Amino acid sequence: MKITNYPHVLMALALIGISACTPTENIDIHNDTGGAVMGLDYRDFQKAASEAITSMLTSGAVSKPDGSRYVLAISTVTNDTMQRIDTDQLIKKIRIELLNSGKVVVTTAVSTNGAEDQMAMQSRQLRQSDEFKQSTVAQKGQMIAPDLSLSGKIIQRNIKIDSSKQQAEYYFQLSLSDINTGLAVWEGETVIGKRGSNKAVSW
Amino acid sequence: MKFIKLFNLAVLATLLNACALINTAPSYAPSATDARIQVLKSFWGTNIRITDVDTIINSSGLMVTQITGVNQDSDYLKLEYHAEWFDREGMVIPSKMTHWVQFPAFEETEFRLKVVAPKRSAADFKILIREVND
Repeated sequence: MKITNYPHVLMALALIGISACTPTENIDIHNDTGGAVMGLDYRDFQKAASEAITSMLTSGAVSKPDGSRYVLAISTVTNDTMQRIDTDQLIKKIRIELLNSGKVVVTTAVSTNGAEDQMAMQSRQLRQSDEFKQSTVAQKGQMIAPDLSLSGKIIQRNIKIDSSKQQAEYYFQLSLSDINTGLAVWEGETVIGKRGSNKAVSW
Repeated sequence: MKFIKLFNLAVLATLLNACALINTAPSYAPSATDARIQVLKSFWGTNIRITDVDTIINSSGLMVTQITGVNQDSDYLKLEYHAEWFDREGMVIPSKMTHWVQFPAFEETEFRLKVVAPKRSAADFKILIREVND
C-alpha cells in the first residue's frame, strides 16, 4: 500500500508524540506542590472546610452544656459560582470531622429536599407487611429531630485586572443555626483569591 | 601511574566524606521550647524560630495549642503547618484537619498559630512547620 497523504500522517504522528510527552501521574495529596488553578480544586475545599471546623470547635458552638451530642441537619448550601460544584465536597468534610469530634451527630432523615437517606422512612412501610417480623421493624417515635442546621453559600466574583490578567474571588460562607430559636450560633467565612491569565478559565 | 592511583583514591575519599556529611545533617530543627514542634529546613536553612508553645483544654474539653514564633527573615514568608494528634496510647487520631495549612509570617516579626484537637481523646500532638515553595 502506498501512503500518499503525508501531511495527515505527519499530523497524526505529531499528536501521538505530544500526548506521549505528558504522562498521567497521581497527585500526592499529602504533599501537593503543584501550581494553583483558576477554578476551585480539592485544596481550596480542604482549606475552607478545615477553617470552618477549627472555628466551630474552638468557638464552643457545637458543645452541648450537658456533654451530650447535638443533632445536626444539613440545610441548603448554594453554589453561586460559575463552576459546576457538588457542595458535598465542602460539607462532607465538615460532617465527618464534627461526627469524629464526638460533639455532633448528623441526621440523614431530615434535610431541605426531603430525607438524604430515604431508607429510614421507606423501611417504616414494612409495618404493613406480614412478611416481616414486626419486632424488627423501626418503631414509631424513634427518630431524633435536629437541634442545629448548617447552611451556606459559595460565591464567585470575577474581576478583570487588565487585558491579560483576571482575578477570581471565592467566598465560602457558612452558618450554624439553632433550630429551636432560629438564631445563628456560629458563622464562618473563608475567602480564596486567585490571579492569573485571562486565558485560564474559572468556570 | 602510582600518582594517578593515589589521586583517584583521594578524590573518592573526598566524595565519600562529603556524602557522609550531607547524610548526617538533620533536615529539621527541633524547637528549642518544645520537641513536639519541628521546623523543616529548606536547602538554605530556615529563618523561623519557635519561641513559645501554650497548650490549654478549652471549654469543649478539646486541647488547643498556640505556637508563637519569629520570622527572622527580612522578607515576608508564607509558611504552612501539618498537625497530627495522638491519644493517650500514642495512636494517631485520623482527622480531616491533618494536612498542610498555610499561614503568614511577616518580616522580622512574631507570628502565632492556633491548632485545635479533633476530639477530646487527643492527648499529644506533633506539628511540622515549613516554608511554602510556590
